[in-house]
Amino acid sequence: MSVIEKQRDIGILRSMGVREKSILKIFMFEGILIGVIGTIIGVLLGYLICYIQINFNIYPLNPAQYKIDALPVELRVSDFFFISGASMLLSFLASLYPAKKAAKVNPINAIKWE
Amino acid sequence: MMNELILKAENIFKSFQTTKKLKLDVLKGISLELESNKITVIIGASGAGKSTLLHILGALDRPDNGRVIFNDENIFRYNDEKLAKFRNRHIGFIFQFHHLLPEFTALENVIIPQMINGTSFDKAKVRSEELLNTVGLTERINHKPAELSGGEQQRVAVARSLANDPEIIFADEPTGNLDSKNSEEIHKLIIELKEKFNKTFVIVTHNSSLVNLADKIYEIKDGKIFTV
Repeated sequence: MSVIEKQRDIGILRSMGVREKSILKIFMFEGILIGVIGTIIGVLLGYLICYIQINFNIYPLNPAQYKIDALPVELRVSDFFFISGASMLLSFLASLYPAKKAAKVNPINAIKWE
Repeated sequence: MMNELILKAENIFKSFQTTKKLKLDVLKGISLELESNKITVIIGASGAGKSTLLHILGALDRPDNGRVIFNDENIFRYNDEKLAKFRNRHIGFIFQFHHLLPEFTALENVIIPQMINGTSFDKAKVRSEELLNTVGLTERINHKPAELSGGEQQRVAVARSLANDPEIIFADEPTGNLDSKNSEEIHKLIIELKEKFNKTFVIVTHNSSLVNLADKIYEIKDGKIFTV
């Protein structure tokens, strides 16, 4: 994540009186936002690919080798919920460590140099 | 007439562990008093500890020992959260490198410290426009730092330091990165702001013309402080 490249900005904000907790929140919010956007794009893309496969059979199977003629796809609402939930949870967890790192940036070291 | 004391440092010690075995004593028992509505300049050789002292006086760093008294309270008794609030309300910083946030315009950079303080955007915007007008940047308020010259960037930084109407402004080599013409403009601005807003300035500098503006000069040498 952008904690390393944002070190100086974090230092500036801390020197202006932003609390550690607020820095933590900013980076966690960013992590969650990336997770949510990524999940939405992933779900839409996944649905689109499944829809195309079901209706247009873009991935046919060799009838000489298989009993069925197309890769079977089934759209289950529960899968969408489970996978979306898991990916958002993972992105939230993945944002914790960098967010904690960001909150602990020492403002003096961060603002020392250009 | 006795001038009012605004901040008092008592017996400040600070050392840094440079390697596992080597401890560098930077400040060895520094005491000083800052008078309200004065310009105090701190001089000293590179590495003498001027910036370290400035960071401690400005509550950016904690001393190993000693007190900094503001409004009859030792600020280092505050926890980190309260210290951050103290910096936001009472202290303004101007650094050698402007240290503006690159993704935000000049106006937004001055708005941000006020919003940290809980001021509404609209109210902060009005004050920021006034401040940028005072530093002569009315035409440039919607420019991002990269679109401004070095002198303009530093003037935005000066406006930002005044955003929350702090009592004391700490400037660490504010003209260290500017040519002589721009340095001169920043000097004039500091004098003007001191008079206009009744501010107390503490400036660390090598610049001799900035030293000449001082009401009081301190020199740091071997970790000790002397009045010049």
